[in-house]
Amino acid sequence: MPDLAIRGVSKQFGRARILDDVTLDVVDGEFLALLGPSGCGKTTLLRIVAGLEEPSGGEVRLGGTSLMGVPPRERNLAMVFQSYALYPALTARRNIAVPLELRRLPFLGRLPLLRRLLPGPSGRRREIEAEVAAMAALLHIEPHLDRRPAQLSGGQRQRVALARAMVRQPLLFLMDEPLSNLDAALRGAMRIEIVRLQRRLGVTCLYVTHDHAEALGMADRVAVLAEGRLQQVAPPAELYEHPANLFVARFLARPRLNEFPLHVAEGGVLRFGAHRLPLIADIAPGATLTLGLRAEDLALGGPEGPAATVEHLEHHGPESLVHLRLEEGGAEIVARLARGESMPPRGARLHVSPDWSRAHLFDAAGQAVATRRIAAEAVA
Amino acid sequence: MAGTLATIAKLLLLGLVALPFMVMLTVALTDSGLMLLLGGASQAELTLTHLGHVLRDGAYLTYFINSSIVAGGTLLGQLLVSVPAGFALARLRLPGRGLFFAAVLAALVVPHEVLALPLFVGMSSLGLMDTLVALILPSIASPFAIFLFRQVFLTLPQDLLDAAAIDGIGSFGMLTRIGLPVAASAIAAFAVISLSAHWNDLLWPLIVSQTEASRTVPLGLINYRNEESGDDYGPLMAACLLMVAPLLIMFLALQRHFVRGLTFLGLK
Amino acid sequence: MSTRAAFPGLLMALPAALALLALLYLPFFGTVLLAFSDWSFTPAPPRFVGLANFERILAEGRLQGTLGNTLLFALMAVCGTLLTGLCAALALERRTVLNGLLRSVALLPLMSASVAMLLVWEMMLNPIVGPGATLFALFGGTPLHWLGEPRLALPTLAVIFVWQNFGLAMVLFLAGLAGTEAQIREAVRIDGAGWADELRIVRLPALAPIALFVFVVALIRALQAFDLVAVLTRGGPDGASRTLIYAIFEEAFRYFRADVAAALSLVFFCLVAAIVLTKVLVLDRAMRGS
Repeated sequence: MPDLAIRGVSKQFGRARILDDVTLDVVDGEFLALLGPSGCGKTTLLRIVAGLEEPSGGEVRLGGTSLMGVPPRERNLAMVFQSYALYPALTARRNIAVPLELRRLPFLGRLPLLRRLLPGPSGRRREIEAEVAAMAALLHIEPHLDRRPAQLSGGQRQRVALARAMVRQPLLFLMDEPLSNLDAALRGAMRIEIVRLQRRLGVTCLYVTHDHAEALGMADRVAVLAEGRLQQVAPPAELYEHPANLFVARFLARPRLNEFPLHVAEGGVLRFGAHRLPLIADIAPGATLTLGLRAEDLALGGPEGPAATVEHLEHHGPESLVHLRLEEGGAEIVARLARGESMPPRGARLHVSPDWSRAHLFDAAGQAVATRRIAAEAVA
Repeated sequence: MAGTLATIAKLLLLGLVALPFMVMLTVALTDSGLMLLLGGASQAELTLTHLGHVLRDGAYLTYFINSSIVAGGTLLGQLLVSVPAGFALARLRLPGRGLFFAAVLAALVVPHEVLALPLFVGMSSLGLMDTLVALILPSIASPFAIFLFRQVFLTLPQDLLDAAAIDGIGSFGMLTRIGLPVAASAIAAFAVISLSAHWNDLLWPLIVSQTEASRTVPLGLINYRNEESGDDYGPLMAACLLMVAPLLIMFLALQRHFVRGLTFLGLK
Repeated sequence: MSTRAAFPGLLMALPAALALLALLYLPFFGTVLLAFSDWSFTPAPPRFVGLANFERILAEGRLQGTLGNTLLFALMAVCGTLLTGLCAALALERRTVLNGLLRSVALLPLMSASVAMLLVWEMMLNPIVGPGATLFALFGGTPLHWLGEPRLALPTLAVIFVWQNFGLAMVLFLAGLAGTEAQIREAVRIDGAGWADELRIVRLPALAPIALFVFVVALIRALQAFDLVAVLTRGGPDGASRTLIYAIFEEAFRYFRADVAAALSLVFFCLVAAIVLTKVLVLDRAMRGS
């Protein structure tokens, strides 16, 4: 199975730059998620790989061969669309068979009436039927094979679309937010199934989504896109723990990232409220950095730390969110408490102590600053 | 390559479609255009004499006015009758609504030609033969129009009407203030269909009209053709041009509405 | 329902109800009555004669060919319109400036004055003077009398009908094509389809329901085509182009046989009603089935 190489791909529509010099490698057999907010160009990138659109610049290579100018039908890819794009006039069975028929049967053998008369390709036709049946079994849609898409539920249609994509064992799977039309419960189950199938078939998969939980939960690596530019490509854990820039940190934070502008003081030290942090990095004094802390990295109620008042509590089952306002500066922050941790009452005044080992620092341009472990010293 | 071939083919074929129009224009606006086409003359000059000939013919002016009155009057009558009826069917309390609607649906199946004979007898006995009234009257009953406007008014959200009712607006107010703006484009589409249909109508005027006074343009053209024998097609084509021109202008101006109207008609 | 509450509705619906009653239903029943009577513009009151008029239709030479002519004309006209309209829709589907222009051109015949353009056609088809004649002469053949030859008249009328109406078919087909999701067409391309396969799998099935509509619409228009016959051939030559609709007119206003005309009208009505009912029943069943 070949690797997919996307090199310097750009796409321009009139004045708008949809994609800007995107370079990305997808390793054989990997599940790569293209993650980003709507309008970031991820679907356009997918369509360029599929051959439905030509890039304004750059190229795409599959296994070393350039795909530029190659029409979709010759790229040996499969695509699952957001709307499933099933052929409404055909049964599920015939839908799944279409890619095989188009490639293996001669032109006359495909025509609706003649096919029954021609003696030749019946062997191939039986092969096709067998493969369709096998794929249907894999996706648990056998009882629905003779129904038309209009008669199937959303989840069933989705499986038929998947079956149609997988039946021909293409070189690459492309999926464009296939789960976004399903309800939440179904989505969770389908996520697992898609990943399972992909691993079983060992086919490289490029998966577009705007849902970061989906991307983090399914992919081997995630490529984050914003405004047409690639922000970071990394396995989910690394993306979360070491975001390359402010955008990635913010995009993956739920409910949001707690951010604090900080000045670098004399001696390479940061002031955070009444605290001083010796900063072990090469930054000139006087620069402004942004400190990012995730909600789960803030501990409440310790003996020391900046003071804050509890303004609002959100109770969710496995966790709770506490919204506080810092006394000094008045910024609003969010802290996440696990189930079992005691919830402070509204109006309470307490100290917030961050887990400095998990703090993220970003420079004025939003890029992550490499730091070594920061320890905080309280300054009275 | 296939692309340009296809384009050329398209242009040729549609050139053929436009051919009658070109021929009409040529003959109407040149002095020997026809001969030029036939290869009998080497050049032709643009001229307005044929047009002048037709326009100076007072009869033609009468026909034009008659046709305009008939087409406009019919449209007006149709709208006055069908729009409120459609609104009532769609949105108001109406005893016997089901029966009325069924009657409208059933009437859709009846082609108007089937009614021509008794209508003729009726008009004749009322002494309305040879009048513009007789030309306008029967077309006012248009089940298609009633059906169309009912469909349009069915799309009005009930909340809007409820809010109006609470505000104290009566049914007629609802029709004029809320219904009409919504129906505006449907009315435009219908107007295009109706006006062109009645401008072109041949059968009914043929039956009703007996003298020049009530003749419409289609009849006038036929009359002209029948009486004016000989090979000078110039004036005839000029007259045809004058008949076609208003429709084409209306078409070019309101193309979108026309297409929408056609789709309504088809889906009837 | 209180009369007060129903008043506005009744008032709005009343003119339409009266109009339908007086101008549609009343004349309709008039036709039905006349069809079974012997009245022909005589001062004497009509008498009931059962099916006599219908027998006369079947027996008389002048009227015998009528039904055959009508069906033949309808067949040619409808098939021609459907095919031409479909090809036009497929060819002009993409939204380019050129295609938009050509679509308008395709609609010109439909939009222009029927009678006027028929006279233009008459001039063009004139074997002595018309441009078509010259074309023939150029190729050394004798010009054909398109509208004057009994065998040619009906097909010629059918061609003119197609010219007039294919734009309507095209518009309806375009609406049907527009309904196909772009994603489905992309999906079939990715699955490996060329243009012929795409046509077969995605576009033609999408057009099937519309095709039925267009068929019925074209058929009814073909049956109603009065102007064509009245202006160009007046039923001739030798009744070769006498269609049902023209026969009705002739019987009533040329030969003054109101009873026969009414009978023909009734036949006409039954034909149209049968077509519409079949369409409604077949279509409904087809919709429910899929």
